[in-house]
Amino acid sequence: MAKKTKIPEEFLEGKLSVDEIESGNIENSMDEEFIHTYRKVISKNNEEEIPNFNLFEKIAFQQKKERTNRFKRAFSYAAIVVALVGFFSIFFYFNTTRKQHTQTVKIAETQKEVIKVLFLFSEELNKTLKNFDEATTAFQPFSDYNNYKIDFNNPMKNLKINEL
Amino acid sequence: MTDSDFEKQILRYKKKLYRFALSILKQKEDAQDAVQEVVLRMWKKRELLNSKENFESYCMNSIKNYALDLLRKRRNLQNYKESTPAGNIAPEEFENKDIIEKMQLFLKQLPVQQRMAIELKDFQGYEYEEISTMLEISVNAARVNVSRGRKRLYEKFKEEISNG
Repeated sequence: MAKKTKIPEEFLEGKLSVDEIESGNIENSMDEEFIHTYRKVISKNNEEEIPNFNLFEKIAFQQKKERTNRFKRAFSYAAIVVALVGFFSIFFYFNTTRKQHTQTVKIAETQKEVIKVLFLFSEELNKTLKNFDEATTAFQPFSDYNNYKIDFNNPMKNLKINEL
Repeated sequence: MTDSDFEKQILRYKKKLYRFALSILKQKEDAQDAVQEVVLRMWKKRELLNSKENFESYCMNSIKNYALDLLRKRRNLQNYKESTPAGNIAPEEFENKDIIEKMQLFLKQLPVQQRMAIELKDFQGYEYEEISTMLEISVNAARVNVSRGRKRLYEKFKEEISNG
């Protein structure tokens, strides 16, 4: 029979584990009770069920967050690109429209000016031709009329106006 | 380490990680949150984790670091000891508990270094060399912490028995 001892100093010094202590070999009943209780505490603790929780819950949450962030980032970039393209399109559209409008106005003005000038020119030309004609008739030497060829076969010459 | 390797490895240590976290933080919700947080942090750098290394020690060490950081932050906000279950328990309620439950409360009242060492040595059955790696202390310091914790529990037990 093994000799009964006090609670092993080795246990309290951390040199022995609780499983290495032989039950029934401890002299002092309080020490025996301590070891017994200590073992019960350990077994109760280890038998206790741990909560059924998902170890990867935060990972799943993180992945979801990353996906959302990626989508948000992509959406922001797309929105920026669309906004820039839209802005430049509007800028170019208005710029082009304004230029076209200016050109149209200029063309219309030029047309009006040209018509006016042509009208004035034709008026002046008519006046000049008339003056020229009058001047030619009025101041032409009579001898010049000899150069005109008289068509003696003029069909109008025998025309009797009274008989018409 | 691939995603599936990581999942397999981490699932193996779920209970140990949770119990270790609970031994430090004392609250089930906190322990659960700590394990999930550490798993997330490890998952982020899973490609750097070599499965040949001591993955278990690394996990336990990460839990310890995270839990101690959390405790430090809380101590800055409030006196954490007062908010622990052991600190809040009414004397008459304490008296109604059996010796095993009282021992569990004494265990929770131990300083955190001793609590961690006792948890790893007596409850989870690790060797001092492994504990020293997990807690980043020397083998001797691990043994001293276990010894001090056991002695304190023994003293508390004796007091409780003698008080009747």
